[in-house]
Amino acid sequence: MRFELPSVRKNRLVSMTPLIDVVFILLLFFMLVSNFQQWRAMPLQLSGQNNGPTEREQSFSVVIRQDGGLELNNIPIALETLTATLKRQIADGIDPNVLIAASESTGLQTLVHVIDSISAAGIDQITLGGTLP
Amino acid sequence: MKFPCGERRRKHDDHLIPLINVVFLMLIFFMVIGRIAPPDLFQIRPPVSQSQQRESDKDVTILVSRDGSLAVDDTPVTLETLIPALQLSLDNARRKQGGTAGIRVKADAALTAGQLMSILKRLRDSGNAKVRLLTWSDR
Repeated sequence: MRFELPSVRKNRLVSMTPLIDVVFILLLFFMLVSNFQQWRAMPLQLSGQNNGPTEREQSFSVVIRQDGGLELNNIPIALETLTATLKRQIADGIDPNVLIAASESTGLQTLVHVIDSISAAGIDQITLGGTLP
Repeated sequence: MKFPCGERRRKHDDHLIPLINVVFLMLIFFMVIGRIAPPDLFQIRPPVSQSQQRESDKDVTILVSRDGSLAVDDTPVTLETLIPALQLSLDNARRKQGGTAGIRVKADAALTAGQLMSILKRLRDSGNAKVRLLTWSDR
């Protein structure tokens, strides 16, 4: 009777400690290895040759200057007001497509921000033109 | 004599079971939600965008590191050998999937537009004017 009781307990419960060890190690592995960052795609269209509209058919041209300033149709504009300005001008009935010309030294992140602002105005025909010196 | 001892041990185990439940739940959460991605050839930090378009695994990947080093599908290439290597990968991918593979560019955010354009111009000259730039979701 004295020895029976522990043996009954052993049959009822699997030894927990090694199980927990293994589960903790698995948990740690998945926590460290998992990647939660969400990837997104951004379509880029290059100008030139027969692909995409040529420069003369563009309704808007956006220039990113060397100092980081923006120009919409040769008029300086702030990045914050770009979306609203474009939206207003589309409402006037212009077929929306945009040619972006960036200075050589523009960072990719800046370029992506500008493309984001143009997309936010509902324009999906965005063409990357050549770079400026 | 053994009774109180056994009771205490069993109580000890009973307290452990909610902990194990929680740990199991966390384990399942991380297994289901997290994706295990193999590391890229170069470590890059892509730009952040608000784009909502999902990326496609079927595309051929061009990796552009911060200093302008290139790789096509984890094979290092130079600017000169980029186009032949890309064409080979595209042909392979299209044969496997029936012509749906495009090109995606995974570039570091610190790259300049000039460096990117010199690569994109080569792609355009080889007939690939449309690429997808990979970015991180800003949320």
